[in-house]
Amino acid sequence: MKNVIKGKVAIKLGDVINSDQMFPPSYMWQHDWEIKPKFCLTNYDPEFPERVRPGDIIIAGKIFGHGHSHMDGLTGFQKLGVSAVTAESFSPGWYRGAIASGFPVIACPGITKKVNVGDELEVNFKTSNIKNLTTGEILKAESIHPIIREILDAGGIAAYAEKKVGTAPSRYKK
Amino acid sequence: MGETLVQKILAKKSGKKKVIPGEVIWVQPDLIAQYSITYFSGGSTLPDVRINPDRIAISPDHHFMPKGENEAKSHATMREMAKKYNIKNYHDIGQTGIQFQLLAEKGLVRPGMLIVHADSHVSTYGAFGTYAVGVGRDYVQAYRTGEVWLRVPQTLKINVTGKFPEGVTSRDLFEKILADIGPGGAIGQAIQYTGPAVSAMSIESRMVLCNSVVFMSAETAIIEPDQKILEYVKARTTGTFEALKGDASAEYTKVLNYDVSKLEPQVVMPTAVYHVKTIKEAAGIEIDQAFIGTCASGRMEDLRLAARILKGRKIHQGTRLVIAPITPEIQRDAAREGLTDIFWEAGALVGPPSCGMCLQGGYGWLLPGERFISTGTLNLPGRHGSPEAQTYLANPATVAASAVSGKITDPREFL
Repeated sequence: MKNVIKGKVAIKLGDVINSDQMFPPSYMWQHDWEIKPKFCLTNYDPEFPERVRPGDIIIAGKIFGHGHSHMDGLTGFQKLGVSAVTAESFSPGWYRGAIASGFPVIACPGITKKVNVGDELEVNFKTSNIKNLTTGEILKAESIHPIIREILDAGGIAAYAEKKVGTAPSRYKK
Repeated sequence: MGETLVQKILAKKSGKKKVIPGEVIWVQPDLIAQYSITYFSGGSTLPDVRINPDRIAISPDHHFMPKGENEAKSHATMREMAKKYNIKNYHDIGQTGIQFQLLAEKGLVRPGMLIVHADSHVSTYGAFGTYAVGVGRDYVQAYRTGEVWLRVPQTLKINVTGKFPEGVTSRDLFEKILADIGPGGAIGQAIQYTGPAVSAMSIESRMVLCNSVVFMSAETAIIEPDQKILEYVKARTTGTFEALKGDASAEYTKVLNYDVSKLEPQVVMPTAVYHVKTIKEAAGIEIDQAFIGTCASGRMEDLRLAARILKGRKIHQGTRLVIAPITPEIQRDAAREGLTDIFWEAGALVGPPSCGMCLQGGYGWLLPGERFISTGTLNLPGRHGSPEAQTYLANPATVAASAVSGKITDPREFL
């Protein structure tokens, strides 16, 4: 993973966004990923899937990903090319799910008050500084633990486990 | 400074002398449990297992029978996995029910253990003095390397006193706490329940109290094991365990005190789990469908409570009630005790042990405008069918009473 991600804020979400509400409820049953990304976050902003560009960043309030650790929303973000999510705080299960997918997430208390849609951000995952390039303001995010960074660098938990296991044959393999 | 129960378990499982809240550690879970649903979203790929298969437990759980090709494939993958890796803790259709009861019945849940699952409702097993935590997709790594990462949480202590009034259950206490502290009230923390009212509780009630702390954004919940737990576990397994307890001088983020003596039945209103009202405020809302079951209910005392209300009464015409005992063992015991007869006489459908109507994509699709009252875990719009349907959550007595009246009803009117 890159130490620094630069991108434009595509959307600013409120507090307590449930993991199952990152798509409108009528798309809860839709598992066709050719169609589904077109409805990502449309219950909060109908134009979001049209407006978002690869590399954009999502900003959210407190307890992002509340509830069950369902990761449909994250898959939607990835399909749309979103580069990172930074929230005031994350629900622990959603945070873990994002790390497992190798997706950059960083908690930054106070961010929703300092950043607006359209602002350019520079998120430094090494120093945990988030610079608002539009306003020049620097915000302090929570640091990423080295173990979590290692998983992100591997590209997610499956790739990380693969690396850790190495090429040793499974003792149960035929 | 002393250590909390959580710190003690996690230190043991990480091979460290001591762990500090906030620290990220690698741990070796004693049990990695999983159900079939987690396979079918990613296709039917057989997971790579390189650890002792006795550390794994799998069963269909969510779908008592596959109702489509994807589900059938996920079941088949699981069967193949059990065979290939010689997984003996595998329970197929007819033997499974819901894992958040089943694994305890099988003696796989013991004090001092570390259990991981993709599903956060595994916190139910905190009732056994076990650190049981949802790890999402990370079970894939646990199968391969035997370990997962965890952040050592601080502990929020909730001290409960008083005697539960008639028709009020540990579920109501849980809803009240959730309403008070809110969806982020325990973010990243472990909740430890303690106090005389917790000691007086049955194991089943303790499981319900621990079941849904994910909605407070907690990592999990835990209760120190006592004689009741030791007797239950020893009756079901010869497996070894260590009944760890926290130090008296351990530090907690906060201590909350609850007296349940005046607690009332609570009703969770659409469309969020933390929109909680008392039965007085919710009473009178007409309902179409009612359900008693899920990992948050469907145990013997839930069924007994529902039976007390349903005995000699009929379900309101135009309302349907489904009751799904949580596991085959509970279903058997309920039948032997005559509870099933009472449910049938009342006009309820007694369903197979499974998540049933609580599950996203489960059974009992609701049409626009229909109202559903359930002992389930979640009430988001669209979860049970149409986004224009409404789901209310309540204790089994309230659900049974509401099914009899055809509207949300205070169960104490019938007790």
